[in-house]
Amino acid sequence: MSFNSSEFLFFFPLVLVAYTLTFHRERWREVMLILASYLFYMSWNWRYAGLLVFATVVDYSVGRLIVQESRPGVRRIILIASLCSNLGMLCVFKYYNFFVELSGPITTIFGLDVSFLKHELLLPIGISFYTFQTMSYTIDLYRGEKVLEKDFLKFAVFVSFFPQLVAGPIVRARHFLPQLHRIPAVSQDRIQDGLLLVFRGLFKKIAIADLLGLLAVDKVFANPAAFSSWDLMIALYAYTFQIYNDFSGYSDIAIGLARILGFDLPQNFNRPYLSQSVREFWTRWHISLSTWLRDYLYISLGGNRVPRWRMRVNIMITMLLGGLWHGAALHFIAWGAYHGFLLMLFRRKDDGVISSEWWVTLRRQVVCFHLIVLGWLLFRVQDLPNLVQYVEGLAKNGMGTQFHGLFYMILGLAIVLHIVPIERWKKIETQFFRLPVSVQAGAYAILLVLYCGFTLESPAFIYFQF
Amino acid sequence: MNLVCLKLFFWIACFLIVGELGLEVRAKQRGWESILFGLTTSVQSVPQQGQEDSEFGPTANFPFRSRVIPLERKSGNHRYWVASSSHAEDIYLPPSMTFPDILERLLKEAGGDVAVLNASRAGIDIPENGNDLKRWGEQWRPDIVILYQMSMTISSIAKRTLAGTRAQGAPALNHAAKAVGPITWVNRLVEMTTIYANVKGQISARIGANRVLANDLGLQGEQEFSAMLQDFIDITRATGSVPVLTTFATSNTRKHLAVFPKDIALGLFKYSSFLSVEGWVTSVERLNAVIRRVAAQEGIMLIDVEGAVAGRPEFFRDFVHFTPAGHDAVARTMRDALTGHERGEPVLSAVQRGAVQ
Repeated sequence: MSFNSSEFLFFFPLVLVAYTLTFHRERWREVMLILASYLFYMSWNWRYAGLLVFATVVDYSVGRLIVQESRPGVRRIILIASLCSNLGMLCVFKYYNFFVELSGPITTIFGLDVSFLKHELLLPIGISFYTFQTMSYTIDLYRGEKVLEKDFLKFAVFVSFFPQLVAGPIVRARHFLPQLHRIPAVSQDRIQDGLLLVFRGLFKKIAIADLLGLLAVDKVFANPAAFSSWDLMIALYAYTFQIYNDFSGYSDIAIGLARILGFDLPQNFNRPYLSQSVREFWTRWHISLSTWLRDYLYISLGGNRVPRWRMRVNIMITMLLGGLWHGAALHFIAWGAYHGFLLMLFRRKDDGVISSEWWVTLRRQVVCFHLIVLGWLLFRVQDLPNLVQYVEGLAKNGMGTQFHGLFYMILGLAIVLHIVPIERWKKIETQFFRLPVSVQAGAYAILLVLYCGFTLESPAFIYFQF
Repeated sequence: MNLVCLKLFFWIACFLIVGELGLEVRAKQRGWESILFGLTTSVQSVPQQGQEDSEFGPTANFPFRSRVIPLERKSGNHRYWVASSSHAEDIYLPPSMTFPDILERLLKEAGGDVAVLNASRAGIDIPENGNDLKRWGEQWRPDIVILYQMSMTISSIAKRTLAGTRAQGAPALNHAAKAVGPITWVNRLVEMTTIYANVKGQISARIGANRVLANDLGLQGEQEFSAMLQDFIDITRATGSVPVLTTFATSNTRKHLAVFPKDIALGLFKYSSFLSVEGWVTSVERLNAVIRRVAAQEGIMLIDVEGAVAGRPEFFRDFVHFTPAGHDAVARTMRDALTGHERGEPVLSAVQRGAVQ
């Protein structure tokens, strides 16, 4: 049951009614949220709810043990046990087969066939997101942050909260847990605001990301040799906007749903393709992951407070693991390495400094954008032959196009929506909120109906696989 | 928080319900099916009140959309089995106006003691036709099994082979792909709404037309189709029946490509948006060639429905479904082939002759 599925269209209103009825009883409200979240998660595969329970129980217990324990050595052992448990789950379900495959060529030299060691387990959806979330909780406690949650139900809501359970944003304990100790801030205004975010996310996902994929991108990446250099280049730009709209659309929906329920989730995207440097890009793209990697990996490795060569190694390790987080495949690692390389190469003192010269800003944005676009090629291809085929096609295949006008229109719309300043959107939103509720509802109903028409094959969100 | 806070949602629900009701009333006035005013008939559907008394199935004991006959057969009676999908089931027409029933009447007029069982269901493909034959064939023991199928096969093969969704990190995406995949009762309910049907027809089809479309199913498509035919022939023979293949006919052919009717093209993209119009025409031509080849290889009779009605829009209400005149023309073509009508041969002899050849 994804946010863009028919089931969710029935699920969320039912949850909302149940939530309203239990709203004024804290315990009931929490139990209701946990039930709804587990139902949501179990709609993919009920068996994997066990993993969610396991992660909740382990990290709740570890958190209490870390706070109760004063001996540094023992605290460290408890933390390592927790990390092993969380990373162990990730390794078994997400990376085990990959490493068995990688070891294949080596073991073959010794006449061993290790393929029988591979398992057939499906990757539990969202596992990378909720394990990182629970890990951050225990690491924060170990570092002495006062985020301990003694109430098991509240902790269970923190781990399983359905709007952000399967694809983030990755929420920090210090941001979310205090909200569970207050009466959720629900009001007519916040519901309107949240619903608009939900529809904005649906629009990004269905009307832009899905259509870019269906009208061109999927076909082109499936068989690059059949397309001209022009089409290959345009498809790469299109994928750049497809993945942004897909993932930021999901984040918008998650933030919007949480807001309707009275909770605030952190912003996850901030018009990343307008970045002037790759470093800035990582403060605007998947912000909850990049700050997680910065706070819990990069800083733990020493961060900037080490010799220059060591800092570069830290950057590379962080980005390689960031790439691996996205999936157990070499092209994701290559993508991480590419970004690590860019961050090392273009680390300037004036990073983040806004130039007063518009043309300097524009030049930086254009250069940075194209570096990012090239990275998406590594991210999107499946294997080396596919990459070689694509690059060869870019150089050799001529200039004709097989794409229709609608595709170019949607790509243009995606670019415009990305460029339009946030203040402009805010003004439009304010005017929209001034309309009578019935008119707003009419507009939403029409959009809902149109979305039915847009969903040709209704693909899953790209980031679900991570 | 109280229920008043949710008034925005109530309003949205009201608009959707009112919109659906309005469209359902409109659909009823136009004679279309809808959730409130009537659903599809099908071989597997539960008989409605009073339907047991009807002259035609399906009923609880008679799973075909044709004239109800007893299970036991008299000597000299021949049974024909028509395996198809919506082309022959055609819920928009009374069963007496579909080509299987017309064929029965024509064969009787030609002097045969025959019953034609219309074992066709909308939306099914050749393997499901085979399964139906396995399920009911031994009980009803048809002498001759006529297969009229293609467009469903083209749609399903195109979806499998031309969708072009390349995996990103194979094992992970396999899982992600299933995230929205399974058809649940909620999906079905939404798809049954008239709003969905209208939007699908008006928007999805137009979007489909703007995809990068293939001009051919390719060799893999031909091989899959050939294998399906072979399996069906084997099942038919295992049932003790004689298989008969038919070529497939469409309203418009290659000669119409330059001026292909827009409404028919949109109808194609509504259900399958992987092949271009030319792709559809080419695929039909190539798969008809496969049918001819398999029939010749297996020594079984071939009825050339394509030659009789293809490219004559007056026989079709869309690209593949027949008008009453089309049903009649198809039935006559089948009758002629099955009886050797022009040569005055008796019923079955032509089929048997075809089988020997």
